[in-house]
Amino acid sequence: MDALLDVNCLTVELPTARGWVRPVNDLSLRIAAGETLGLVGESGSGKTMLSLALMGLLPTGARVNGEAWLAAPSTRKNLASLRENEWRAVRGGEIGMVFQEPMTSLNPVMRVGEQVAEAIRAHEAGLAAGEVQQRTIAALRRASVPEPEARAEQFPHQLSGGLRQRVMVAMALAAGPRLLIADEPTTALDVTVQKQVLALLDQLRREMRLGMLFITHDLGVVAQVADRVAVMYTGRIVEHGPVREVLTNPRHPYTKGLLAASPTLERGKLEPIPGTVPQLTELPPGCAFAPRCAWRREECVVAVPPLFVIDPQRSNAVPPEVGSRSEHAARCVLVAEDSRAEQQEVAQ
Amino acid sequence: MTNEEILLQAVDLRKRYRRGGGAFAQGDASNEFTAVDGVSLQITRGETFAVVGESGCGKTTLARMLLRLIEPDGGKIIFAGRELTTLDGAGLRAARRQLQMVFQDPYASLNPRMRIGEIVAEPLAIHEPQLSGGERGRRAVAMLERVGLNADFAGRYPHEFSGGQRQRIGIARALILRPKLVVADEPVSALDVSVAAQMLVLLQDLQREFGLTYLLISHSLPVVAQVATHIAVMRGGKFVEMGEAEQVLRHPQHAYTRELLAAVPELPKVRATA
Repeated sequence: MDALLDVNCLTVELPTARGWVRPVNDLSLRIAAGETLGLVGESGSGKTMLSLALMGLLPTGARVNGEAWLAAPSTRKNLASLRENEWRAVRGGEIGMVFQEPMTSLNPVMRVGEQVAEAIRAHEAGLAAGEVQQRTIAALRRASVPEPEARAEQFPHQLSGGLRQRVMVAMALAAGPRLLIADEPTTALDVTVQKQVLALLDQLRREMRLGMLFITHDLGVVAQVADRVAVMYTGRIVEHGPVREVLTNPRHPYTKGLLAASPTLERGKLEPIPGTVPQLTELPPGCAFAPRCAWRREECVVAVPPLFVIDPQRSNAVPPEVGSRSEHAARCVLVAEDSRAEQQEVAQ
Repeated sequence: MTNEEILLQAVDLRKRYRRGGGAFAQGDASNEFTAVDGVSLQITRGETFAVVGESGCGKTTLARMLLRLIEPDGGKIIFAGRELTTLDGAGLRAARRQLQMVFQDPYASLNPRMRIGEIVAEPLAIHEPQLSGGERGRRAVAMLERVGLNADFAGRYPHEFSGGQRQRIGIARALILRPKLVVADEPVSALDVSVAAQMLVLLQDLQREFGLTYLLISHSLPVVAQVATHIAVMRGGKFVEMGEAEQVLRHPQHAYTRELLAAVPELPKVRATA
């Protein structure tokens, strides 16, 4: 795959009072231009740390190992090893970011048009004022902000939550990045507004051939917006694959648990997952989900399982190529057993 | 089986706020904002009555008026046969024993300087002053255990707990007086999916065990669909639709209800494994 973003064995370590922890632990993923990868996880999964690592916004003292290759016009850049002065060109210019709370991400004492203009000027210093103004209005219009000339003169508090988020999207895309990282962009919005913002992001992704990393805890939103999905638990990806495949045929017990615990409009049996997410300083041996897993075996606590591919034709001895378009994999020994059983059936 | 006792009745409740203002504000209508615009409802014992709506619809203002945390500008509230709107002092305090609230923000609704055992015991200190400190402590611990927290957590402070645990503490505090009606304002919206599911199951278990009636305030139709017996859809300070949960969800009459239902992102069904 021609990857726009190619993350390879990325690890983020943070110092704590009880030693180093790894909120992102040996993680690999790929995103192609024009594709949306949904990243699903709860608190403590590491999904926000991952997005911060990909924007160079990790807290001081964090250590990063591994690679995160961003395809650039001339040459690839390894985000894991960029220096701060190199980040200024990448942030906004090559990677745009949209956060959850538009009210805290926007400057309350600055008109919104000026904030978008600031994002443009930061990456193209030589533009004339008139040109900046035109680009600002164009960016707002592209983000479906109605009456962009009038809105540009308003302050954030004068806009609704949905409009503020559109302004965030306009700012994130103003300097023409090819990768957009959206961290829970619709969680704080009403559901009718959420629907509009998701539709907007999808439209822009297609029009601008953006690659998008969409981080959320909401499986329904992932179903609507993503092509592929990766599920995170305590710093690792425990399942990934085409979104429809993973949601209708989940193979990791945690994914199954999340689906069973997600409320829908059908008054069915909501099934919580027993127990709680472990602290990173107190991870159990072997598979981090084992203590909460209804199917756990002795081998589960021996070692962290690798990602096994779900595909009867493939041998599980070969580590899967993470991110090939149709591949579905899960970090669970049960998958390896099922595959062997399927292999035997196929062979017979 | 619910008996037919009407526990809470609201008749034409209203609440207006003045926009802008200050000492020189004119009292004309253009400055006023109507948060609750003539809401009536009836909650029967044993029900879970849900008010669902988007931000700014007035549902939280409505919930606070029903507990008289905010004073209504118009209308009546009748709780367990007594008119709540005219009570004060000892009468209101007595009524509040039966009418408790679980708040939305598990981080803001617990006093950070009190140990959680004290937080849960506080309603007893106010409403049952004849109890000894030891007895209060015992009941508080029993309640903490009932909501799934260890007895030895009683000596800890709120900041030592996760959002889900703090929400459990809030529930323990609301239930220690064995109220008849519990108003839950967005009880799970700040929680992770799996923690929210545990909370909803806990709330339903406690409802059965203690014979509770719930008024649930939520922006989330899926959450409401799981637990509500009756649903009222609120917009612009008014109920646009109200009825039994199954009816409202399956046969919505109002265009806005249909819009809300259509906007819920759909999860495809998990394939049954052989």
